[in-house]
Amino acid sequence: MGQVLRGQQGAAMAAFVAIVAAYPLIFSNAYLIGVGIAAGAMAAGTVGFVLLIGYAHQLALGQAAFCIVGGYVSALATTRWGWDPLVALIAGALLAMLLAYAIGKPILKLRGFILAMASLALQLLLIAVLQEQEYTGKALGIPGVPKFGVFGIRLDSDLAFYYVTWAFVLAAIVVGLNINASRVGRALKAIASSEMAASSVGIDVTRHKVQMFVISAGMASISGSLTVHYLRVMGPHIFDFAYSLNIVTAVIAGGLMSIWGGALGASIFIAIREIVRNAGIPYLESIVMGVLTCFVLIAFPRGFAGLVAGAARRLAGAPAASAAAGASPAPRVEAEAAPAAGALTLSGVSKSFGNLRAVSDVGFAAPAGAITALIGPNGAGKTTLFNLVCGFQPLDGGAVAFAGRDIGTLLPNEIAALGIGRTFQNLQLFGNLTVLENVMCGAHRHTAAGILEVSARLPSVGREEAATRARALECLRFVGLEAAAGRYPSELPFGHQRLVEIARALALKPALLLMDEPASGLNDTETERLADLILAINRLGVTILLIEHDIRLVMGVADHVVVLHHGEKIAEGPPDEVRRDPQVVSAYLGQ
Amino acid sequence: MALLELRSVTSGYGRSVVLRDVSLDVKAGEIVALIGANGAGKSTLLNTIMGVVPLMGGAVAFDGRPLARIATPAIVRAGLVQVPERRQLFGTMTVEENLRMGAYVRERGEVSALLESQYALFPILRERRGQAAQTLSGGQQQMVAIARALMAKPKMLLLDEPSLGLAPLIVQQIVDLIVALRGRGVTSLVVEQNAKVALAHADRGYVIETGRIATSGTAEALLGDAAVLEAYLGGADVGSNSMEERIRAKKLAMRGDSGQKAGPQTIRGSRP
Repeated sequence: MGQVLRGQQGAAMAAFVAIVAAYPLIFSNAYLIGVGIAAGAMAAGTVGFVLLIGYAHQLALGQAAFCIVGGYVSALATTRWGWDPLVALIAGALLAMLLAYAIGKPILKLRGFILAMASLALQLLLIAVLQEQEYTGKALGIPGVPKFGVFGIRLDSDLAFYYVTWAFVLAAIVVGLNINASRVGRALKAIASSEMAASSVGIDVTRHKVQMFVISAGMASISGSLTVHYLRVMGPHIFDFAYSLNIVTAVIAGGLMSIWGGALGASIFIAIREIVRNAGIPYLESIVMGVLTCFVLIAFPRGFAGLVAGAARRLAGAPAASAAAGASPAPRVEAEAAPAAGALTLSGVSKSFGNLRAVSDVGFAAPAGAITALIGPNGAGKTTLFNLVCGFQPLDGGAVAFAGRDIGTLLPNEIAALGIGRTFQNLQLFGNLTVLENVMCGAHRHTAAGILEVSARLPSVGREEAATRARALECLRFVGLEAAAGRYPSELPFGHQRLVEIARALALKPALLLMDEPASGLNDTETERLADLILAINRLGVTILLIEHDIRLVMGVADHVVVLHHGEKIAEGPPDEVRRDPQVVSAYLGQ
Repeated sequence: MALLELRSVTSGYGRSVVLRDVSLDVKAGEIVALIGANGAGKSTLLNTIMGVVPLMGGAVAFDGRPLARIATPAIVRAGLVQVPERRQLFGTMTVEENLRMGAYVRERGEVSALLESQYALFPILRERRGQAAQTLSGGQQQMVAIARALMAKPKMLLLDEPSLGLAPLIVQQIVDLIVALRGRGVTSLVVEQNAKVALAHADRGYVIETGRIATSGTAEALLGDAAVLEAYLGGADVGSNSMEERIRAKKLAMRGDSGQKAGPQTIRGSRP
């Protein structure tokens, strides 16, 4: 599938370059070239917006604040300090990224609409401050910004500026596509789908969000600088609240889930704005864009980019999505897990939610290399205990030690990185990624390509991706779901989705695997196959802690059984002993 | 006459056909179990009956009335109600609000009497009436799901894996409940992975395999048929041939041959 996509992206890139190159040759009058520059200047920023909002789902709607930063730096540096415009543009982008880095961590703790409001508030704050400053020309702004230049060569010809502007857009698109096709892009989509599951496979959620915020800010700043050199003036109201909304509608119309959609949306918006202005009804563009956005969302929610991609796919004939190629060797998942290093010890662990004592003074050990089962009635606190071990909830009291190390205060992704994998009772698969990509996310902590390497698509990145893909396919083969690699989780039956979660956890190469009700939704035949799978995983040296209600499975595979009831441990021991315990019979087993 | 009748039903999603030529019937007062592996098409079958998944071919009739092109709410109004897989409660709403949602197709005047009868059936839900549904235990959530369905005064329930994720003791309670509902005139078609438990309390069963009915018969006949047990029900559970024993034997064999990786000392160390 990767090959097919790359072919498509290649065709899209060729079409993009051809259209951009041909536009000024066809529409050669100065006004239309100017329109082309305006579109390019906006597009350089909207691409970053797609990365942040479309992929990472961080609704920081006030990204135009960074257009303001770039705009003022360019205007001040070129008019007052005599800087080269390119140097000013780069300085602006660096300042914007520095600012984004500084505010990123606190502001990205917010989610959804609250993040949107905070981000817009910051933008409005910036405007309010700048329009009172003498130095930035108050509300009148800074006039007399020179034409853009590169290394001292002033671009007197608008045609040259047009091409330089779109070269920036091209660079942004390349960075965007490279990120999208990498482990970072995959991690972003995972975060967008489920932050909990993302951190359970070792993805550092905060770090990835902040990175995208910083990159997006840099692109917004460049967009601001280019716009200012086109307008030849900078003022506090050029990138105002309405501009922020225009970016949002432009990106939605273009296609929120496509890097191309960013560039396309900006072009569509500028075209509509010019048409409306020429018709003598200025300021109507927001209304027209609003109506267009509604129409797009209803008619083709993936935007114009999705529409074009769909049409291209139909023209080329639908490619068969064959993910796995050729006969594959026997599973080689083994030899990767650290043998017998996964001992988990809980002592005096407690957790309350309000008045409810969910887990109360629970202590037991899951010895390295063994299969330990955790059973008990619904609501006994079993899943809460898993969440405490994985760091999703802070301990109220007690201690959790893994391989001899206290992990009670670590973050979920740090705990995963130590080699603790888990599956979820209610399934936390990434619905926006294919089955194979889901499993590849599991290998996130074993891949190292950083944001810079990924953006530049160094050869090492490609090699690492291929290795990750191969490893993920192995894990899928191990659970018997290789054939489903190219499908989306929602297309699989519930029981198979559970197996995908197991494969994803295995890709982490865990020393300890926490499984939360893996047999729920499986029939007897499938449950017995699951038992084989659990035994095979254990045989690789993986320590297993299992929550399960199918008592035949528990008693069959477990070396040791721990029973919880009302948050307290009521029994512990080998399966046959626990089975006869009268307390366990009356609280849980029945009969 | 059958209360629910499917004749040569074909259905699926988009271009992919999941069910082919499925015929089955459920008579008033029966409990019928629908059994099959993951991906066999059981949930698709229930969703097709309810009109959630479009019918591609064949016919579905309920209470003598064809259901093709009838919208799901009208099917519910006619007395056929689904209890969906994984309960699908309105998690942030209270227990009572969830139940009231179930009575959406009933007259306003009926609601309090219906609520009262559910609380009589599930006394624990009366205690928890003001609590958010998502804070209940799994068993209690399943009770809310069933009670919510009963609020529509159904003639028949379609239960999709009612025992999913429930402790053994609670599974028994849910099964007893389905049997008790029959006494109140509610017919049930039950999809279950817990096939033996389901068949032990059902009148008849259908086994579905890759979208087709593979076999059907009375519950005793299915449970007594060695070939059916072996192929679809995970084998007979008799004496030393139970699933648990088979799993244990495999574990011992694995640990015995080259299973030394697992660190036998630590395992032994864990035993008292």
